Amino acid sequence: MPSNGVPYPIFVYAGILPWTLFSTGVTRGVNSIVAYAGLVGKIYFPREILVVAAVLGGFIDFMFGFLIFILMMIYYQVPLTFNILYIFVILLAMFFLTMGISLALSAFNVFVRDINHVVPIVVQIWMYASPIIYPLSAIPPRYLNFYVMNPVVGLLEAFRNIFAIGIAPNLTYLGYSFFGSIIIFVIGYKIFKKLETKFADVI
Amino acid sequence: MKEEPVVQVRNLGKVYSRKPNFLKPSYWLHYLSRNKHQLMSDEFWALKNINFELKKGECIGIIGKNGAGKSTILKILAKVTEPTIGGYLCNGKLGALIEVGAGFHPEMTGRENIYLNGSILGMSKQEINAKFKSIVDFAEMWDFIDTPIKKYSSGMYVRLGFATAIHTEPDILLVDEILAVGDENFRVKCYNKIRELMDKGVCIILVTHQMYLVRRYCDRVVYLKKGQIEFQGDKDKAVEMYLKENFEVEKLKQVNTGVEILSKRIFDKTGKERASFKTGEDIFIDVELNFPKKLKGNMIRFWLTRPGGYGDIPSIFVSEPVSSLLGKKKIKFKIKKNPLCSGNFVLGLAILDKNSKFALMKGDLLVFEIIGGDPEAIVEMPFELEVITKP
Repeated sequence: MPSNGVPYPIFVYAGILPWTLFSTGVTRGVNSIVAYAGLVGKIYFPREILVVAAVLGGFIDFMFGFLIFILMMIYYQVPLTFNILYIFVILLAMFFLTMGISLALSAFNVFVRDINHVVPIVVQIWMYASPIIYPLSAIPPRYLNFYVMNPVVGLLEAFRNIFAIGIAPNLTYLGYSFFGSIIIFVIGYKIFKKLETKFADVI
Repeated sequence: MKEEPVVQVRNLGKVYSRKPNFLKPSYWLHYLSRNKHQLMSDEFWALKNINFELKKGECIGIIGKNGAGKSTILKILAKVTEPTIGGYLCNGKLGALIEVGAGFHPEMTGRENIYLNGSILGMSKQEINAKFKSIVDFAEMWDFIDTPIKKYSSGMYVRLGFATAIHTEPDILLVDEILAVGDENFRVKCYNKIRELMDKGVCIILVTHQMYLVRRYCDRVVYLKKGQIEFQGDKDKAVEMYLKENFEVEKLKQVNTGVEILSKRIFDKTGKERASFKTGEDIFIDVELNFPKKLKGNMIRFWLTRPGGYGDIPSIFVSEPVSSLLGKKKIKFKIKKNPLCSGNFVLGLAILDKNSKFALMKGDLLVFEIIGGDPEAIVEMPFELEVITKP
């Protein structure tokens, strides 16, 4: 497997780390409303809080994983550059993306409970459709435009570029993912708000 | 000057579905493009045309049978669910004693849960800090405040929940059948607390099946029947209506023996039919029965119990042997200077044949209400207290 000259553990971990952030956020987020059925059916409070809490839980996990990542980078003597400052853009986009998907799915899950069983499988497939164990360069160029429609691609690639390789991210892909994430967030939030009014009756 | 209502409910309606199928596109098409007055086949109005208002310091009682929509009203006012049509206005902070302790986390300690639940109920951390002592005092929970609440007994759980909820300083308090829990001391404490809040001008909406609570606390009553307001206004009239309608109009037939209850009346010494009596009054009951076949060697039995009783709740029995029965028979009896305590009572009637089998068994022949006396007890024991030797 090509790893662009980066030590393979660093290469893979730089993909797995942000991916885990995304996937745990989504798998937890889906269940967040249903898991607190008792609360939702009885007390009024902004229901989004439950989803935010679930998604932020993934960010806490990420921080611990990130510490290990730093130790690995020291061990493998991977140099740090100022490009790592892009991480704030990546994390922000990641938050919007995870929230958007979680909001919509957690709301659907109230109505059709089986969604939480489907999500882990979809996430698993999604993982293989993202540049985690392979680099973006492994994708044949003619499929590339199609491939980057996956909003995670730009974020994962940017994360790997700024840490493992130490170069600036591809701003086209990152920008695409960033705005894609915000659009997904807005749509997810709208769906959530629309369905929220029925939660207490259905849950 | 006309006083502004604190709570105003206008034309409120709520549609529920009996068996929603969320996988059917037609469900969602209907939901998104709904004509709100047109129902799908499996939908029904859980509430319809609800109108009432509350002024400062008023207490309104909501009564009605199970499923009449009482709790749905509270849920809508508490913003847990939305009305399908109509609207409501609450001028002030709302506090709900609907399911106390709903937000508790079993792994956390009592202390942590006060903070958790308090913030869910809308208190800031400073507010909770300031009231913490008072909450724990109220719940009488100092000994176990740092114990995870999964170890709590159900009574402790409720006490903590109630104490937290009541300290949110609401302007409007929704109370749903909550006072039916906890031990005697705590219940008295809750009543007193609610009374105290009422004196401070807090509005209370009380949902209960206990008519003595309605009489004791409410200024007005909304009587709900199948989601609609059957009656609104004077509490005594509403209670009387509720008791009469819900416990008397029933088909009273025993199929196998054919024994039929033709009529039944409950009245006072002047002959006036009533559904509620004061402790100490004489209560008269007339029952007319029809025996199509001859019944031999019988026993007639009456008993009194609290609603839901005859079994685990203590009852008072009277059995009287009767000779053979045929045709129309009238039974009259009276409860002389009834020693009963506040609350609802159910009168049961049974007729046993010579093999001690039930020829007729009617557990809820009549329901009436008693006012006066301790609601926690069933009967008042007569006793006299006298000083024999003076110091």
